[in-house]
Amino acid sequence: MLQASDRETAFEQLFAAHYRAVRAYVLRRSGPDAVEDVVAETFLIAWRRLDSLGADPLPWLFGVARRVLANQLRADRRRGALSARLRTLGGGEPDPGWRPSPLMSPELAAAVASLSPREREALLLVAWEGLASDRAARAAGCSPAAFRVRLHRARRRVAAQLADPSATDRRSPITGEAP
Amino acid sequence: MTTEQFIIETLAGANPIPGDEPVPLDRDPEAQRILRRVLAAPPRPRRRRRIALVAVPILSALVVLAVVAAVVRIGGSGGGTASSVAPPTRLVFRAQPTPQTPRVNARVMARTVAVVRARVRGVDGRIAVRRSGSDLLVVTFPASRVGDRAAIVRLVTQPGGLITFYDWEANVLAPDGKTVASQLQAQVPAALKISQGAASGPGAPLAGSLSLYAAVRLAAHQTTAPPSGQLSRLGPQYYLFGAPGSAACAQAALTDGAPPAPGVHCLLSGPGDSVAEADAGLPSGVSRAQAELVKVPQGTVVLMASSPRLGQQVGFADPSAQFFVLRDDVAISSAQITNPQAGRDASGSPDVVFQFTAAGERAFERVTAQIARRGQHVSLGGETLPQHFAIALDSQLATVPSIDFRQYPDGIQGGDSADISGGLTAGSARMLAAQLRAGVMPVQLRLLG
Repeated sequence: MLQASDRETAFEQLFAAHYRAVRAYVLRRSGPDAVEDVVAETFLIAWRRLDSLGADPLPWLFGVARRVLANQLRADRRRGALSARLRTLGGGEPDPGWRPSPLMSPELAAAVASLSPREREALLLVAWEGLASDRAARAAGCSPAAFRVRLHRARRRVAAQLADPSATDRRSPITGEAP
Repeated sequence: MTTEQFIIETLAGANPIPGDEPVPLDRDPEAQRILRRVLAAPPRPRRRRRIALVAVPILSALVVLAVVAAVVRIGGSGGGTASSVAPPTRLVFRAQPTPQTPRVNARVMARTVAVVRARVRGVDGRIAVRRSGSDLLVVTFPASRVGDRAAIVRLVTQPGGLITFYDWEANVLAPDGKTVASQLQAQVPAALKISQGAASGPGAPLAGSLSLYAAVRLAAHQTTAPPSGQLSRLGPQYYLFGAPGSAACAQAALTDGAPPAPGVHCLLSGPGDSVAEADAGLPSGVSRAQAELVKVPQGTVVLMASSPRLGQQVGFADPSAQFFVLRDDVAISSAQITNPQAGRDASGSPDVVFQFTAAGERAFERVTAQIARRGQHVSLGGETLPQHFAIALDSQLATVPSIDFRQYPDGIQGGDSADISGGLTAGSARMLAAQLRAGVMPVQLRLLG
């Protein structure tokens, strides 16, 4: 267990090393209005779990940010009301949401939008966060093998969608995830 | 470059924030604000979490909360002088067996007294609870609270705290009365819809749910199951409905202070555990001749869908409420969970954490393995059909999560804690934990007088 002053120093080092990356992760998926709160909440959780963070905490921080974003998205959808929400156990991932990049073509944006939340997240962790599969798997909260399957499916679906934009609707509705 | 590599490269080229901004953190006001916010918060150890379940706000908990609140509110305005001169009011209840407690003995009565005391504690310290004879419970309260008699009776007799886990597809019925699981391989559309859900997931309204009248009629056509420990309820339940547009429905709406819903059967009374109990619940001015009695046999349950209307809770009688019918084959019950505590999950949202007993762990592993095997079985041919279990709190579905059969082909070991989160406030999480902690009433209490 770290002493209080050591904790602060260790946290400040963590913050300095990863603040930019976490902020960019959040900004890529939500509006700028939410960024400060989500980043603060993410680092608050890191502050409280500082003693148990591993040597490479960035994927874990992305995973926390994803859950904070997903919770915020749910809260926005509820608009303050009490309501139900399903999150699948084991297989399901909270949806952190995403914003199409203005640099994307409409076709690419539509293809990415057609993915399930976890497939989309797999793709973006690699393409935008620049993580290799093993680290991206930790961020996504799944095994490396499962992550590679997700990534492969995501790329295949986007490729198919770009080749034939009407392909999205051919997916069986029963294989889609609840939003 | 392959097509798939090209996709990654193209996406990377469209990265809206391609690199770090060059401003040092100590000159970034937002970074400094966040740093100050975080360092000002006290460090706090976190619990280990393994299983995350999501629940709707718990209607039953809120019902008990509402009763408690009503009692407190009324009690707060009650006079104190009357109690000093008038004799206290006394209510006598008889304890009756339940599926989980087939015999009422001294140990069961001690537990019943403890649960009732836990419920009335905090409402009014002057409410006394004691056992009398082999199966009677006596509740005494000051005469100044005589106006709260009905609220106190509800507080004491409400089953509440009943948490039940079901294998969803194996027990939920399609409109044809067959289980959903039995119709998945044939890809029957109605069964697929109930299994896989609509926009809000399985167990929610519009995911194959029914109106209360349709659900109760479907349940009424099921055969009576023999008594067993897997049932959540012994004996039938009775409902009284009014015909669409009838004077009885208009009168019921008037009593509830709500406009009558056109074109649908309305709930006049129920569910009751006897015909007499259902009759007693009829709105004033409505006679039994105006009502249709529907009996749901032992072995079938009608559960409210998991998603309440945005912004407010709905009750059984609300015409917008939606329901599912399930075979009452409980996989895990309240007796198999321990140590429920309110807290916050890793993202800071209020939650209720609990553990399983040894028997609960085994049951959880067994049912999740069974669900995973079915998921594998019905997902052949390239289509994935995730299978689910359902958690109900009293008469409402709380959540219907899926089991990833690829990740957990042999089921999920319940050795660590589970938590219910999502849609809970800090207050409702505390209330739910308290209700689960107070425990399920081991018996059914009937007011004698």
